[in-house]
Amino acid sequence: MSVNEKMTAIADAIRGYGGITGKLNLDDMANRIGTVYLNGYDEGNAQGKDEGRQEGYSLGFEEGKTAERSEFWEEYYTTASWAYAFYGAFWSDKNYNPHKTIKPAAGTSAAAMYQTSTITDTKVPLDLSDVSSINYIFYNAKYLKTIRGITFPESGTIASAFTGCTALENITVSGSIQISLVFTPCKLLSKASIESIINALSATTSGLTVTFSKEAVDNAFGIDIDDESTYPEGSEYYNLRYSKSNWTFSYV
Amino acid sequence: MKITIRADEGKWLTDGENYGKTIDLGEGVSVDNYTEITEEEYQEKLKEAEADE
Repeated sequence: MSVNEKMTAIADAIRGYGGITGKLNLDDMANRIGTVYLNGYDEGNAQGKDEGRQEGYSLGFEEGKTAERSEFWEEYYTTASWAYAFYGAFWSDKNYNPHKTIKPAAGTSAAAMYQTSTITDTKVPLDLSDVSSINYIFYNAKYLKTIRGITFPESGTIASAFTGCTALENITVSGSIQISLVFTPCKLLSKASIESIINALSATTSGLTVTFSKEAVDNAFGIDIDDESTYPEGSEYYNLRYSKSNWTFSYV
Repeated sequence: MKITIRADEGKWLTDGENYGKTIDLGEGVSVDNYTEITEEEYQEKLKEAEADE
């Protein structure tokens, strides 16, 4: 390459990167080198700012949504009544986002709290120990698969609490059960869940009944409730059931 | 003493509040507390119970 050709190449590069047109002599090229740098700087700066803005916006938007959601739930927890709180198909796993134990105030009702919702998992413990009613609490919550850490009230009304709760597999019971409960529709209850329920039955009450789906118990323990030879004395289910001999067990 | 009672095919056992096909009685609970009802009577009881609630 001749010197002239090299100079032409340098001039072409300055024109290209500097956005300059026209003929350049050596003095022009020396002056314009700064322009090339500054153009690159400005372009990089602008691009960086734009990308930073977009990323900042996205991050800020998401954090804003999270903050607003948290604020909503903080406010919701101050509600005077949890009855019907998550009633209906509108409530789903997408919008149901409690962040701590739900404990209704003493004497209030938790009736129909999850009735006909499409929630599959209660996500947080439900401390219902002080409520006056859990009538219909999970009535026709037919997608509900998991109930976490539920504490039942010691008295009050519990009619049809689990009617239509046909998908229920997992339930963890806290505290002591001192009311009759009916789990007939819950044919998919896991072994651990049945154990949790039975272990939570009060050992000191009398005249109470717990009702299970025969299918659930048979499948969970590999027995046939109607054939006592399948759970003889000393067997796993026999021991579990009679650990609460003060309770009547009903099977459907 | 362990006492288990079973409803006849198509029937239900009830103590007036609880219903089942096979009832394994708790300590001190009498068989006399239970009566056998038909499926129709059971469905009727369910409707009455829901109407009351």
